Amino acid sequence: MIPTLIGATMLVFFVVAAAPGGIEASLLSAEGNMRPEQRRAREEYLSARYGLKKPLLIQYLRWVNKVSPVGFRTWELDDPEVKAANAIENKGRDALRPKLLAEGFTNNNVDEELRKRIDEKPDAGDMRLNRPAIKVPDLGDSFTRGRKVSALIAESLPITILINAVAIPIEYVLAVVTGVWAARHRGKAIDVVSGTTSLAMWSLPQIWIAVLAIGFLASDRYLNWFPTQGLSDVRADSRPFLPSGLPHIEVTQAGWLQWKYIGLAVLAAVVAIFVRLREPRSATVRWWSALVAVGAPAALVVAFVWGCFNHEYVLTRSRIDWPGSGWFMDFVWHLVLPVLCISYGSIAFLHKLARASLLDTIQADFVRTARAKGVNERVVLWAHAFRNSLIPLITVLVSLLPAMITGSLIVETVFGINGMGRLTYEAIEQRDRELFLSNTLIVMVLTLGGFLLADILYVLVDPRVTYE
Amino acid sequence: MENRFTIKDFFLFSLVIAVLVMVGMSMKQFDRQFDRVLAIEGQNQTLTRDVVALKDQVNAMQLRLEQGVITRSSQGDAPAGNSAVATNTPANNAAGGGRTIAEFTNDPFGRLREAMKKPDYAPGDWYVFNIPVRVGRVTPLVNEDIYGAAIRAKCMETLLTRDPETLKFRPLLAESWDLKPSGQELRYKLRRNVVFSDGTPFTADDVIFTFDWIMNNEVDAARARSYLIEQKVSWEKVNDFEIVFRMEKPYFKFEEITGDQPIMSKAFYSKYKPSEYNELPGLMFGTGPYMLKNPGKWSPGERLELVRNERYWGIKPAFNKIIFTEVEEEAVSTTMFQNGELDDMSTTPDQHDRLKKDPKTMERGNPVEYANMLGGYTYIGWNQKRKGSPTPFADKRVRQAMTMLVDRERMAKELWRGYADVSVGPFSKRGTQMAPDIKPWPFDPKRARELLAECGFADKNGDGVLEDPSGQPFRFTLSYPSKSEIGQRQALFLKDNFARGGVQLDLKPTDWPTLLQELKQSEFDACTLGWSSSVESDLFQIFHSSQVGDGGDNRTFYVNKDLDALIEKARSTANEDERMKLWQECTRILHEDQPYTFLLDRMSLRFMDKRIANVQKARMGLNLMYTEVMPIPWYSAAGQHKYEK
Repeated sequence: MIPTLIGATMLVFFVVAAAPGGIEASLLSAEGNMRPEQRRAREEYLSARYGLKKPLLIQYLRWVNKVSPVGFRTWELDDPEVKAANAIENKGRDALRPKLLAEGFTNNNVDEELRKRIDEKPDAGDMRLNRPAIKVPDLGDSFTRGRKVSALIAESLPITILINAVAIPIEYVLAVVTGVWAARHRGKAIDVVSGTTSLAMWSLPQIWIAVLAIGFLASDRYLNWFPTQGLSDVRADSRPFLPSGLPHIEVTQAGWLQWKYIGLAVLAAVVAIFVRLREPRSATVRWWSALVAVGAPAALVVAFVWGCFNHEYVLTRSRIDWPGSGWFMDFVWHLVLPVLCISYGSIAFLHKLARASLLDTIQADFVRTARAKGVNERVVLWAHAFRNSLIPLITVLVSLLPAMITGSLIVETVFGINGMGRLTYEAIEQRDRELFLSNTLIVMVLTLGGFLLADILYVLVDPRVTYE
Repeated sequence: MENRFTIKDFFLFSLVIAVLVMVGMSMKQFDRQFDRVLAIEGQNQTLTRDVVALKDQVNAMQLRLEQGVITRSSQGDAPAGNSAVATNTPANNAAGGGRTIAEFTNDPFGRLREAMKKPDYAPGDWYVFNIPVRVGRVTPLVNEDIYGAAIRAKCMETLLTRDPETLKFRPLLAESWDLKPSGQELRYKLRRNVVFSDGTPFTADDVIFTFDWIMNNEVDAARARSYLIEQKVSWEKVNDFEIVFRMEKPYFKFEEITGDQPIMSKAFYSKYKPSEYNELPGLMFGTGPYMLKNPGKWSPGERLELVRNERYWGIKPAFNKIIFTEVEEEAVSTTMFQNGELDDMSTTPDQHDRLKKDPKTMERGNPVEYANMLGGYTYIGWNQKRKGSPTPFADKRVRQAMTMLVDRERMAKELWRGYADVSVGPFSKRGTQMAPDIKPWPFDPKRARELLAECGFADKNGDGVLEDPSGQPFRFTLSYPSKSEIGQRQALFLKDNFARGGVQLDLKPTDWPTLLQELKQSEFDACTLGWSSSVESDLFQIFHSSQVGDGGDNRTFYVNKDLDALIEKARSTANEDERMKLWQECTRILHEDQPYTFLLDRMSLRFMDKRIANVQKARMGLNLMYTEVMPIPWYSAAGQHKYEK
């Protein structure tokens, strides 16, 4: 794995470095406009701070040394040796500058020449080859934000993991259930319909769906069912964390849920159950009592929900103030659309996969044998066939873990969620080398983690697999 | 088979997990309550401190009253610079000389006071503003961008503020200021009643600390530092409420350099080492009317929520909270605006026109279109020298002809849908730097062709393309940033315009970093770009001949000795009227020379919620420019409050 890691990061590193304009250009404002007076100072400062004047290979080796847990100590800016060297350099350069200018160098290239002629070791950031060490990996500083990359990732990664922790189980459950269903009804209408649908889902671009979802499901022109953006409402911080439980007093006062109706419904249900216990044989009684016992409370709930939706209170106030809402419910509400957009493609894919792999096993001899023995069809399907068709689904999980970051790139940008996807997107756009490299590293670590997880799961589902 | 995982087990497991989750969430809930309690406790403490301080002040006043105070009459002509302090002494208020405070021209809160008199004025409610990027930090000085500045302008204050209408400076944290006629010494007297948002008093030490901090080489503040180093500014504390700045050579931006710098609290910021300061994203703390809930604790990804600073020393603005959302996608911010989730968003010309036609959006909000003085201009830069030899554009007649070939009015009308003005020169027409009598070059292809013919460019072989004296077709490449869609359309428009004049234009959309490098090495024929500007801009960096080459921004090798002399003179003239005359002279030369074809001054377009009242146009743009530190005269109209009723 380590050669792969080195190869991949090297590729990214050199592609970024080889991009026209170089890193320096990317450090400057991404806007077309800037105040002219302030530009040069910034440029100088950054190239000194990140050692951008060093050869590329050296820059890359420095980076590898920094992120690797085993490596060499580096010289720090605060070390007395470095300070002394810098002092000598500055003194020498100041003395030489007028001489060079007199020799015909211009203001533009004199600095470069000075750097070439007077170079005192060590510089800050240089490796101390005589001091090998085991150390905490350092992901470096983000060029465009001037902050530690590790801090940026620590802010963003939990959000992405959380969204995917919700999305991935949903993807698997839905895909497996529909996949098994389609496989059982192979060739029937239901199979064709689900197949076509999943093909369509698989082909729809995420960005389009995301924008459509906001335009139709979150706009008050159409169905204002979900929030447009972010992970919580602007007012959520001042609300209780858990749902407050009791319906809001104003709604109950408005008559939709008065105690007498509750009392009536409970009474009706109790009476129905009582009658049913007295006359268990009569079909009519059974039918009616069930209807009343279930229907009365259900009607109450329906009336309540309907009342909520129509009541002035709910119509005029935002969702965060609805009965039973709170920080947590608001958060769940905000997750719906992003999770939907992240998962629909995977659902389609996993559905096809589950169907195909189940079809393979369902035709196998041992399934036929089980059926012939008269084993219950449900047991045949889930215990014999399904368990044996899990292997491909687990294999796919490996690719799903790194796709957590790449897959949420669009969704996070559209929904304004500050997760890893948005961070990566911005890193690419702004050519923030350190940040982008670290994100690549994380994707690779996740791939590794995926492999490990898959291997463990193989053992769990298939007793034949052992690692000894 | 005995140890099979059954449905019952599954439910059992689910139940256990559910219970664990519930326990976790309840803990979270208690945590939040605990935070709340802590916050309230903190508020209580500071309140007690305030009350004690107030009591002390009352006692001191009583003592002075008993000793007898001489009340100064406010009838007399209080010197303009001093008027603000006069209004702040209780004695003066008691005298009540019949002059309202708003009449003093130096009162920075005049506009706010006027707003408060309006019938629909009502303090309260929130203001939700969209920033189309993810905000990485709000700490001042480090990695400055325009959006960080917009947030900071609400929380940190400067010594001076510009009036959006008169464009003159007014004292904000300063009570008065005095620039010596030589232009080399600037003396600020500071207000005595100013406190930071935690109640600590503001003194000259904070100002000194701010400027020392900028000059600290370990602080990543290269931008702010560059001015101070270039102009060799020094500063000195006279006493706790007076400070003096000195400059080696006079420079007209003296007031701006010193008076437009957000003042940082010494007590707060000196807690941090420079390296920590460079790292921490949320160190925004000042004397402003708004503040972060936990100054110093904010980190990106958290909601950017500013609460009103209840200890604000001046007149408190109306909104209780200002919230910044960070939505990039245009479609999403539009939907949010239509839903009423946003109060203010900027729009592109196409989007603006589309929304204006939409009755439901118009029901919700008001379109706001204004000429923004700080918005700058777009231009085509004509490179006069490539690889050491002059290009056709070295002849000013050619440049004039090129300008006359461009139909800028149609460009404004069709590409910018009328939300742009033909640009006359490097300054806004609304300022006084531009000579008022200059009219933009007309769109006149005929005269352009005549001029080109004078220079030896004529269509000799009748193919519709002009040839230069050596018989080569007149053909050049236009570089422009590839990302902007409107930039692409503009390039096509220009190609068409020039083709009509017999000049062949090749388009070269270039991505921004590459373009920057080409500019740096002057490896281009012509390019379209824009400069942003300030209320009074400096021409030195762009047009002075010493700025040719790597260090400066004179990328087109434009050299005019007369202009050089004028720019130098203007920069060192402290007297504003004289200086304006010199700038105007400069614009005449630039107009004649056309080193750039000045294209358009684009308007700023926004949509604002209907309930945001008192949004007015001013000479600078609007009566509140969001990147500038100025008192906020906007409010949410009475009866329409949305977030807090």
